[in-house]
Amino acid sequence: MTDLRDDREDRLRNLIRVHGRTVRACLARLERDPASVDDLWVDVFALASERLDELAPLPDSTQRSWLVRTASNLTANHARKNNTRRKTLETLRRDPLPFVPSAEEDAELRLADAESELRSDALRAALDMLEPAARQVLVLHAIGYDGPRIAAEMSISQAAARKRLMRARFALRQAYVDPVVHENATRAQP
Amino acid sequence: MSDDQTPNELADLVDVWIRDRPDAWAAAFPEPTEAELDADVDRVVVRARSLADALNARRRRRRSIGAVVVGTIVIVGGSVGVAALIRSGQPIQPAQGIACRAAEDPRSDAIVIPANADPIAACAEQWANGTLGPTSDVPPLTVCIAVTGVVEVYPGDSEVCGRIGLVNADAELTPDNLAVLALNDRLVNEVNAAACAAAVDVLASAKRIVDESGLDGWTIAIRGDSRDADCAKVALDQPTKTITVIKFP
Repeated sequence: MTDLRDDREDRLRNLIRVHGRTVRACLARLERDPASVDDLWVDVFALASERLDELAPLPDSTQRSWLVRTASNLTANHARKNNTRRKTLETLRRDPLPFVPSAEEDAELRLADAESELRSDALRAALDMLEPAARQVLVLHAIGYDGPRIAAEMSISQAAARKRLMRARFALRQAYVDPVVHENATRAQP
Repeated sequence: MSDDQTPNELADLVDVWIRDRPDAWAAAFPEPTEAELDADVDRVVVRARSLADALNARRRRRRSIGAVVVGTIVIVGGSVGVAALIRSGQPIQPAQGIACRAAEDPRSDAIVIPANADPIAACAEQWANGTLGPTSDVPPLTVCIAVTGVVEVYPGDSEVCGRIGLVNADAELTPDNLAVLALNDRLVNEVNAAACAAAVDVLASAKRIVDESGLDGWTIAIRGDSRDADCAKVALDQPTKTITVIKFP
């Protein structure tokens, strides 16, 4: 019994390790209150833990898709009216979202990917070249964090957050336009 | 995209690109430490368990006495859940009160009494009063740590905890847990059991009490929906070292 419990906890732990931050970002896009984000995050993974046997063997991308769709579903209802959250949670427990997106969703995703494939590869490579803090501030801004929220999340002043965003954008542009120059400049930093 | 894009155009493009790609979002937050992962797993396990138990909850007869005001608010508020720690003999919610169980079963009737440093004596008193069963004989009692991290006292020998999947509690609380108990007592007596006060005043009182407790690393904040409350109380969550000011009722 202990082994089974440990095995389940290990699989849950891995799921959280891989996708926990993505789900938190998804929730934070729609819900500003950190306490609510935290509650909703626990709910999403509690739902995931109920389907762990089916979810754990799936590819990371499928796991992520399911978790993000579940989080979005839960958050949308939470934002609409607080007391529908429990109902939504119960509904999602009884009738979970399918692991694979619908054909329509899938077609939209593939179209978007095809249109921007080249640009996407270059941007992803440029982002990957940045320092973690620069990447963090860009992603936080992109998912809707304003200056004060970025400052709070990164435990820095608002002025420092603005400066960090500006520098990160500059570094990204450099990495995108001329990756070699960017890499040399990064190496030259003390 | 081309080299002659303005910085603003590129910035906008990056925002849209990131927004459309959940696989890039993880960078928004630092990687969790192993301890943070432990805590996250524990919280999820407890939440999943509470969801599964929810349907049965109404059917179970639960009697409760005492005035574990903080614990009550935690449950009512719902924003700060309990966390599981099924690997340790130390409670992670020592301030949550003690459940004196009527039988060797985690789902048996329980009387919840205020937290104190001698759970066996406290529950023995309940048995002696006849509130836990048809007899006033006090059976052998053993202190276990429940999956929710709270202290529970079961009738039975020292093996009872293991038989029902729990962990024997350590003989004594650690100094940190004792300090949290003292903190909880003060919050109950000086804030929750006192007359209503505005959220900002409760926040100030809670900060003062924490400062005086000598405990480090605690966060005290007003919950988002309670900032303008004329009457607020506090909820203590030890795993996250958080005290939340919540509108009341």
